Amino acid sequence: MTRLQKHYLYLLWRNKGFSLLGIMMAVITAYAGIALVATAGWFISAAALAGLTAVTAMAFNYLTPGAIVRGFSMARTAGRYAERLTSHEATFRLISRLRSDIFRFLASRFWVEQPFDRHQTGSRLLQDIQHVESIYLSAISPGVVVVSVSAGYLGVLGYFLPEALMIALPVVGSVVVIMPLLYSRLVIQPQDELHTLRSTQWQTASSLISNFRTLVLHDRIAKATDDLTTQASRADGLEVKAVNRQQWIAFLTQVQLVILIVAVFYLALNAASLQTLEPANALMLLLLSLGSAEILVAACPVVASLQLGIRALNRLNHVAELEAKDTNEPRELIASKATQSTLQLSDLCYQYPGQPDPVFAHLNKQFKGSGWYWITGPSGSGKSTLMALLAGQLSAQLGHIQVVSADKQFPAVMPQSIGVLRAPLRDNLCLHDDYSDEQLWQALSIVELDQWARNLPQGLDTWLGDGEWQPSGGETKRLGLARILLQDRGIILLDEPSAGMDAALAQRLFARLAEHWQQKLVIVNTHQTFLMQSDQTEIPMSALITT
Amino acid sequence: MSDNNHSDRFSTPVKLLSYAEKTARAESFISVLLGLLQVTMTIALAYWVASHLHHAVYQSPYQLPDAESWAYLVGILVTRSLANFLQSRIGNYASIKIRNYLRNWALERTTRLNIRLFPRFKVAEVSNLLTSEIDKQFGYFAEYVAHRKLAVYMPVAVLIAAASVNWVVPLILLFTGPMMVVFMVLVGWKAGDASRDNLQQLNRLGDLLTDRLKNLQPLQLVGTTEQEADALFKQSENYRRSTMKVLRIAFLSGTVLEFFAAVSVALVAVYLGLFFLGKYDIGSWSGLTLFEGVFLLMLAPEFYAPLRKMGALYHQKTDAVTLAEHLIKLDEADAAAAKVASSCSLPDIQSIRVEALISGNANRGVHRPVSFELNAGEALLLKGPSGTGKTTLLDTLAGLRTQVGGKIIVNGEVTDVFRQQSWYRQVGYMPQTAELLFGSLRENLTLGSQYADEVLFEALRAANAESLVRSLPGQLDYVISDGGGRLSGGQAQRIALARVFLHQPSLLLLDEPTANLDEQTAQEFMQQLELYRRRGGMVIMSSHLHHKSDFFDQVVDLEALASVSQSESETQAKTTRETHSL
Repeated sequence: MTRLQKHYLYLLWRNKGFSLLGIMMAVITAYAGIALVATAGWFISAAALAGLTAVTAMAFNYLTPGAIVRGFSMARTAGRYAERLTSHEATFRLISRLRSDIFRFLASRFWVEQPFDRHQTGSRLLQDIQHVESIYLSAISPGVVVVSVSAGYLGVLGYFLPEALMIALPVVGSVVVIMPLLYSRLVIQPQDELHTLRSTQWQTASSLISNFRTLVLHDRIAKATDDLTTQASRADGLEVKAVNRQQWIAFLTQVQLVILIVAVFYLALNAASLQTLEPANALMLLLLSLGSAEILVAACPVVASLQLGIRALNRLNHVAELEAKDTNEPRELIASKATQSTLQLSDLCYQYPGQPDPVFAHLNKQFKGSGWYWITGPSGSGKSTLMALLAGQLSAQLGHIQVVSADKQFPAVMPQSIGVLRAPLRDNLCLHDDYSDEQLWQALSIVELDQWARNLPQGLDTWLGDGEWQPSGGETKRLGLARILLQDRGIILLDEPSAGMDAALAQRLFARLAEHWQQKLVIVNTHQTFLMQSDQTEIPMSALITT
Repeated sequence: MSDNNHSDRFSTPVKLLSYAEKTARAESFISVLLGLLQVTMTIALAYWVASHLHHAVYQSPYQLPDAESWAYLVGILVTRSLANFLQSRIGNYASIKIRNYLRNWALERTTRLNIRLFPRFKVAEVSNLLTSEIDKQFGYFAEYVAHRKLAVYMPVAVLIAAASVNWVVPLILLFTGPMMVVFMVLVGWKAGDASRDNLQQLNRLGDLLTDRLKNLQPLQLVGTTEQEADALFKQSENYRRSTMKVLRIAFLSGTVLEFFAAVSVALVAVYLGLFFLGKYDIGSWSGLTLFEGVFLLMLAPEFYAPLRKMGALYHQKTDAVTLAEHLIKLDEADAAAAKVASSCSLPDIQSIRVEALISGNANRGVHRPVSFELNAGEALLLKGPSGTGKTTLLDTLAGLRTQVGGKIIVNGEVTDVFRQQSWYRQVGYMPQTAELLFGSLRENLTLGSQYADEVLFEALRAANAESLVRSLPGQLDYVISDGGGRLSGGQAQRIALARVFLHQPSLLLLDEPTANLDEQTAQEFMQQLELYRRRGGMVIMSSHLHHKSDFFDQVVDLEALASVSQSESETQAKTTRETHSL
């Protein structure tokens, strides 16, 4: 059982109140529906028989059966409404939970060594996850209904017309067990293929639209649209194949049920003619069979729905790589009463998976006290890898990193690419921590973004990010710096913080930051050493590796 | 459909849908016939059951129906199932036909329109429209379309059958039927609002998910991913609540339909019961026996069954109407777009002179007139803040848009380059994110032409992408999936540049090609571009950043038309947030 399947069961268990209520309602509704038809049938024939003579007509109690019929009818109508509401509520709650829990897991890992497909994950978490609902809605709940209706039907039949069981048992067995298995065997495979085809089709469409200019200039539009149409037709054909198979099985099932109904009717009439069965009960049994057959037809897709739901779970499990081992925090945080911060790297070895050579082996270095350290070196020398190790995004194969910090916190990290969330500027700065407006404006003014922020249409509440206000490269970097300023931690790591900024601005900014962060331990990766202040230390990467 | 001049474009979504449905008229007709066959069989079943039961009760000594009668019963039941089965088959094929038609219809407009030139049509939205939105109308065209008619015909058939034995029961049915229809209309009206809200919540959730998965890092580094997961849960719950709102309405309508049906069936039952007991004697043509009683009682629910099925399928209509609304938007944009110019063959580009050129949308310029002259091997930088119309100008120069004003002079002659294949062949275009197709690297480079592998690698080498390609699994056969696959932004740009080296366009237009690249990659890219220029290519590149001017021979400052710029870009920003979907 995969991790997500277990988690699903756990969530189902946690939601058991709602889930059980939904199933119970479904069973009650089904019973009420069948009983309604059966009682009404009995009532009519009994009344007709009673009406034959004036005496029985007077004595016939038509109020009680009438009330029963009305009762069943209300129960069925109200029951179905309540059942649908509770069962959908139960599933959607579960899916909400599942969605955010998968996100929680994804977010607990850094994905530096092995990036995950964000587009695919996003669409899986948004849409595909809804296929999970079929486990409860289309498998568990109807499954229970079908089993209990079969039991009830066979019970009543056994009581009034035992000889009908000879035919009812095998037919019900086939409809409830064999047909669903056959259905799932025939339908799952084209469904799977269809799933892949549809997603390829989407990619082709998206590729067509997003590459429009290239396709037009190279006279490839016709070819691309042809490809898309062909794919769509293939997918449509497959879809119809799957649906045809479904309907074929449904037809087979119906034929079996026809045989059952005719047989029951024949036997009932026969029994009535032999006077071993009340004629009114004969009609009751016929209508009971018709009503039960309508419910039993729904058994067909149960097994397939279960499988489709489980497959959706497995796809999610796969896309989020939930089977991978959980990563532990690779760094060691040592709380200290001393005001001095220390970053101790001992015997650090790191090698990217699948690469022949380690980026560095046995790296030792201690950064201690306050002050700025500028790590320099050409690209590819391992600066960014070192940063990722210090930031805890990568975990070294050997050696360890100890962080001693008076504020008992890991370093604040400014990565090379600053992610701008599609959210208001305020949220982009706070990142779920609480800061006062005053603090925000102060941080913005240190990085000289205050004027920019004031000019935004809604100030701090202006939405940034994709499709919203998009800051330029340099502005984004400064936004990243403002975030670090707000976090105000003892140790600060900056990875290429000045790329994309114009030189004069960068110079002003870093002079100001040097002042502001006098008491902090700051480690910077950079190409631009002209930003270094006179009292700061430069450490070439080459020197680090050889020590 | 291919004539594009009919002025009466589809005024309502329903008109568009019914126009498309005409492509499967024959299927729809057969489907209706099969539906009528089903209802006939249902009536026959009621007749069979009623008459045999009647005999069972009143006949003495009772004789079992003969073999022929039983064969009839089996025949009736099997025919009914078979008709149902065939009806769904026919529906499936009708659905394929209609959806194919719609897809081609939409594709035709998308391509004729050069949809990419309209930023209000987002890539994901149009892709959804062309694929999943049309795909998921399976049920609408397979079932709903035929059922719309059957929901009228089938109850009428039942009514006629009932009227043949009794007149009170048809009256009861006739009075309750319209009540159900009125109620359904009311519900459908309210459901529209709820499902629009639901769609909005879904889009919000989708945007949030996509964005947070993309920008996970800042939250991870601050350690507030738990809070983000909670925020996501909250939005997910908002979506659940709005979905439940839609479902509550749908379920309620189902329940009310069922309630009406149950009440009237009960009315029929009570009427029959009291009649039998001799409480009154009205409604029947010729007395009332058990036969009539059972017959009517079995028919009563069948009167409502088609309406109830229609109610259950109703959500399909809502989806189909949403699709049609989106298609109409596309159609309207297409109607407003410029018509295709007659094609003529343009000379090989030696020099380009642009005089007071203005580009824009539908005869409305977005920037001040620009003028410049460019010869082989020269490079021009188009400078200006975002929103000044740099992309629009480049699109116009590429011949993708009509010009609003001014002249483009090629080799000394005023030329209309709009939609000229001979112009397209000479122009290369590189936008901010490299345009890479969903296909193999080879297809991406050759784009339909034939080249030897060595030639491809040579082009890749010139673009500094050879070692990159050699390291990929399958090399030239590596399939670039959505979003560039394993390729980073810089790598994707290098592949796109290799394409330029391969096809050697005379004029290369670049739209902020380095905006998404880090400093170093951007510098490398510019070095490779220098190589193209030295081979005699003309470069026009737009940027809002400062570039080292030694690459460019001239710099043109693009200015937005004052009145338009700010308000336009602002409304643009607003509309993107409020209408996430088409």
